[in-house]
Amino acid sequence: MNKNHDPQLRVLYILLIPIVLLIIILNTGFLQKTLPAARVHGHSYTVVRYNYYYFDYYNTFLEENELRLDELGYDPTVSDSTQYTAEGTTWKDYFIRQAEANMAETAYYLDLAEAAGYVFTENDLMPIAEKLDANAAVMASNYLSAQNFYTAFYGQGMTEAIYTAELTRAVKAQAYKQYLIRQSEPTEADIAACIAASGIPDYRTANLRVITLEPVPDRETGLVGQEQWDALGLKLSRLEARYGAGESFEALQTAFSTCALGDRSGVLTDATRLDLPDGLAAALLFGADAAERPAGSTITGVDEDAGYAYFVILDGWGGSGPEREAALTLGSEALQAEQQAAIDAGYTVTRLRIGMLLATV
Amino acid sequence: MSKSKGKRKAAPAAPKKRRVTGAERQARKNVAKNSTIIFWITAIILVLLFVGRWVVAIANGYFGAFFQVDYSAASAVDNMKGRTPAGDDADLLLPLEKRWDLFTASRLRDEVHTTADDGAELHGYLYNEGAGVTVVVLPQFYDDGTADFLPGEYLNELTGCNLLLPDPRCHGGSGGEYFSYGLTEQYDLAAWLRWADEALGEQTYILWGTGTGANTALYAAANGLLPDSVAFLVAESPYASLHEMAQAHIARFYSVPAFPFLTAIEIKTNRSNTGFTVADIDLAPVLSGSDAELPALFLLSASDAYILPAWSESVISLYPGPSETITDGTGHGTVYAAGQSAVETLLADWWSRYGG
Repeated sequence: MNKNHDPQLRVLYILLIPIVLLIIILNTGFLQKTLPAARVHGHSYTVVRYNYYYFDYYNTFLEENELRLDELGYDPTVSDSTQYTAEGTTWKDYFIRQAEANMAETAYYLDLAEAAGYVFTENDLMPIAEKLDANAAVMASNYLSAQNFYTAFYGQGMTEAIYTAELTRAVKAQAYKQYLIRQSEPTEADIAACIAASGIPDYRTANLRVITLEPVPDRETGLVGQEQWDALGLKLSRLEARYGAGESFEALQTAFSTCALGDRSGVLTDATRLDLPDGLAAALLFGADAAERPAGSTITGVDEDAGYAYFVILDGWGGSGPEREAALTLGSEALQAEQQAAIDAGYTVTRLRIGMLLATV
Repeated sequence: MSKSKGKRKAAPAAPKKRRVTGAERQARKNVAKNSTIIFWITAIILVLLFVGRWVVAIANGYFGAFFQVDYSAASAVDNMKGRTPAGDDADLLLPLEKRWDLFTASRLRDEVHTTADDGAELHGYLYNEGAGVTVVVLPQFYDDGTADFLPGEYLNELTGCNLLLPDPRCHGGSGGEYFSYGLTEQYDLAAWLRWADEALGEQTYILWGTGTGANTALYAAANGLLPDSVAFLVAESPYASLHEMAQAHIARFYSVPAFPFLTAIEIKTNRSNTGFTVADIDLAPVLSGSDAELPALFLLSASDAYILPAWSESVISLYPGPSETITDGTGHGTVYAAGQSAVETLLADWWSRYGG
């Protein structure tokens, strides 16, 4: 035996084995699930939880800007750290900043909701099931198992359970934020000033029940053309006929609505013109016969700009539309200001070096 | 130290070579031979265990795909070249597919349910035109009630029909533990017809089945499960024997020999709690012994590489009732698109003869 090789082999084993072990451990996701990557207001976020926010923002960014990535100056095939936004930061830093802003906002509103003892309604939590269904559709169309899907789209270590937990937190935070906006009570003077400044015409809010139907795109082009809109119009008239023949709104809404408007049951309370597609708002809230339209009356239409057709039952009229709009606008602005102040004061995201080495990868 | 003088020290004595006896030589040969035998036996056992394990795993996988329609069915179906129209065939179908899309997009599609005779929950879709005629669409394996039904618009224009598109058991929203290629599904079809009579009022039916869907309708017709209100059936690309089809497919699509793989799959199926054997899934004896009188229109794609025309022709030759055959198109699923005029002319004639 050549004794000269032994020390070299030994060194090789000493170096290689830990590296191989580390690679194996990294691929199991164990470190990503246990190492903290950031802290927000005393709460620790592991690498996988951090990755939820990062990849959620990143994936949404890609989806929403798919057709204009060139225009934005972003190439998904090139490393994010080597390309720059118009503001001069790297895209990687941009995504991290946005993800951390969402993380801080989520933590802030969840703490507020918990302190207030807020009970989340079924409608508040509706987006969770919608998102999980959308993910399942992607898995099915790409023949991916849940494990492979979440690892591929949200990083090593991500599981459906961890994803769902973090999604639930994010949805709850947004639901509570919207609740706070609706509950806000600006002063009459502020409301009057806001109305005067905006020049909103007077109208009444409406309490509605809505069924929405969406067109089926051409299977070859993926586009919705006149034929598709005409088909949707025929479908809408059939829906109207079935309601007229005595089928209940609830049954029709459950069976056919795409829920593009209103809550899960199709209910839209105190709807302002901002809650409705322009065509429906114009016809319902500002039309010549708006004031005389009785409760129980229906209105239908195909709104190509909004992307759907609607069948609406007017349950009744609410209060002043401009006042409601002003209250929501002022409430949102005030809340946003409060939120920013609170986040600056106590909800900044502190990154932890070791965990951040594994995050966003 | 004193130098040795004189006498040289004697060299150490070499060990005496021991003489190997004949017996010992023979014993050594025997040991070598036995070692070789043991080696080869061990190697063969290991190979058999490895191959056997592989065969069992594949058999379990295909059983899951084809009889339980589980997650592995998707990739199994992906390998079935010729099942899904491609290239020129796809181009031929596209205009009709677009028309089907516009037809369905202009209508409300209800989800409907009934219960099979064995308790399985069955799910389907209904385009309810308020008509007294319903076309029941029975799709091929791995398709469900959401699959395209290209003749649908024409049939609706011709008859004003409702369209009932059930999910076969183990597909879509339907329950059931095992899929039996028409054997159990024929009773599900009868259950759907009873449901439709109750839900829609007394109906006249046209059945349109493709592949296994065609077989389902033919089983039901041959076994007297269909009411007199069924005017006629259209059977697109039926086949007689599941074993015969599987034997051809396993080599063509999955590049494995029928023995031992198909044998293992069939053994697995026959020994599982399915209630049937692979050999039971054969239309030929059922049709041969039947006195079915329901008119059947058979549609064959001329160069179908998925369900061979010869298999369909064997079914046609055995069908006892009045029948006609239209052969057109090239690949699987193209006969209606390629022979639309002939098919529609015949349908119109049969509707006025048997349905009106």
